[in-house]
Amino acid sequence: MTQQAFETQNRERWVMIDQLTDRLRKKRTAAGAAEMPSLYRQLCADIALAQHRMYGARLCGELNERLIRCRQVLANPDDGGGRGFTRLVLRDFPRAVRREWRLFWLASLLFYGPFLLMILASYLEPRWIFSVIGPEEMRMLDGMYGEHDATDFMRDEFGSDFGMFGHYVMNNTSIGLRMAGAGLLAMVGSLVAIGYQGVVLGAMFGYVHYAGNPAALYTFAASHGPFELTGLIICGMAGMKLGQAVLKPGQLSRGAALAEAGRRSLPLIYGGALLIIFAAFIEGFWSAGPASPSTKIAVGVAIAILLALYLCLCGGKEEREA
Amino acid sequence: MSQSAIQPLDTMQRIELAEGVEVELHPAGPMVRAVAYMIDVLWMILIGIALGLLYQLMVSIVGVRIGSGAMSLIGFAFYWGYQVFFEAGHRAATPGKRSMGLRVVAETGGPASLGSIMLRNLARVADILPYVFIPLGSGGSLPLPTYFTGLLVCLFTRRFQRLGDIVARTLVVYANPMAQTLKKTPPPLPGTVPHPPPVTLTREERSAVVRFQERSALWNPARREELAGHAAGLTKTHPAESVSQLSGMAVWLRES
Repeated sequence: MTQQAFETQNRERWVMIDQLTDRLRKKRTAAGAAEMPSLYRQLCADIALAQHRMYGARLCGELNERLIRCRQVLANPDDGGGRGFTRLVLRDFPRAVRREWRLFWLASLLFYGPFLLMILASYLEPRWIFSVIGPEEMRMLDGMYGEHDATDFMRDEFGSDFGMFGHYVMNNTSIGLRMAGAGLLAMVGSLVAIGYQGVVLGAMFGYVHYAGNPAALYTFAASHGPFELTGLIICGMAGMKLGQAVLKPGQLSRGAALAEAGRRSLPLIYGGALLIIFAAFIEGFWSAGPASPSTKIAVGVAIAILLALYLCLCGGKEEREA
Repeated sequence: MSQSAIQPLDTMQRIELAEGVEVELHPAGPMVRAVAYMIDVLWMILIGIALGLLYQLMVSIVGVRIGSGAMSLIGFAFYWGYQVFFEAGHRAATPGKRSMGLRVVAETGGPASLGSIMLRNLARVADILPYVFIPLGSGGSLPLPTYFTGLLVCLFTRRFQRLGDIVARTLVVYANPMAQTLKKTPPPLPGTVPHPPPVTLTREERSAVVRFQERSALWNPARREELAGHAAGLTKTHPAESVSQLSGMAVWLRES
């Protein structure tokens, strides 16, 4: 069969496929959607024939483009939506944390190590504090946790809770996401970021112990602290997972190892970001609220226990992957 | 000519589908992607200005506290979501990519999942490094991303993938590679007589001859002769006649 005859014989069907593809692109349930799979298979047969018979670059290229367009509407990569979210929260995220438990403890150590060391150092020698935080931060800390009890700092105006919530979401979640992405540089980005966060937070705690009212700080931080810090550590750990693939790809090529690590760290990134956003919610609406200090501490402890139980138990055992 | 010796000097990617056919993808190089990115940056600046105006408006209506909270949330969504939103849409391209005729696909040629798109854009954090700091007059400095890491990785991968593309298994490809070349087979040049090639040609050789004729209208006569000259072993004449000889064979091959 000549190329000409092949084209005239099938042209009508191809035009139909194009029109159907366009309709389906706009609306997944457009009329005729049920015919798409069989049309797609016929198109596959056409392209195989055209390639085998050497029908030239123009026709093969045209069919190639058509086939790819078809495939884009036919394949359904949908992994979002409500069901995906529930599955992430109830299963994939806690499982992913447990699967990478070594990295979790390593990341925790990298954070809490410098954090505690910094508190200790600033207790022994207050000058350590000033090597990390400047006058700007000190003024802020004085305002929030100074000698006068002022948990309602900046909260006197109407709507301040919502303002702080937005601010925390933007700042903290961005830090977490950057930590995850920066891990791609052979882990260095994540390691530095985790350690740095530990040092800065340690210095702030040290300063409040030195110059302020630690009780105010602990009642404020107790409720959202567990979520926020765990979220940050998990984001950092996702970054370390990516960096690990660059440093130690094992049996795979580096590219394949990276792709595999990407797949594995995605639930960690989602989950870590969700924890941080949830922490921002608590921090914005509850932590500085009117509840008594003992209530806040109690809530904080309860939250920490619940979070630990969630990460340890939720989602059950993993089926073994091939 | 042994077949293993021919390594096409080409970025075109052949991918075999489960259906048993091969499709071709045409990954886009760093240059065109950089231009697309610059266009996106312009868009982001414009949207940023619009958001600034919106902020002023919100502050005047609902007050500084709620206004700034809402703006933080919007800013956060915009900063991390601009690319994801467009690449997950049905065009699979940011406005910049779209205007350069590019789109994001999975390595398999199918559409990329939302997760992949999240990952590839998250990894931009690493790809845009290192920053250079442009000193400003007032003692501050403006951090400017160089995208050097991404460029370097792009140039060392066969399919022009930056780190984000490798992690997410995605490619940036030309959406309509044919649009730049040809939509119709040109009529044979005048004076073309269809005739069989003097020897039996392999599949690749036949394909080369047919493609030569299909594309010959895109070149000027001198280029046509130069290229036809490479087939002198087949046509056994000088380059000027080679063109019509090859065209004749191509027409014969296509119609037989």
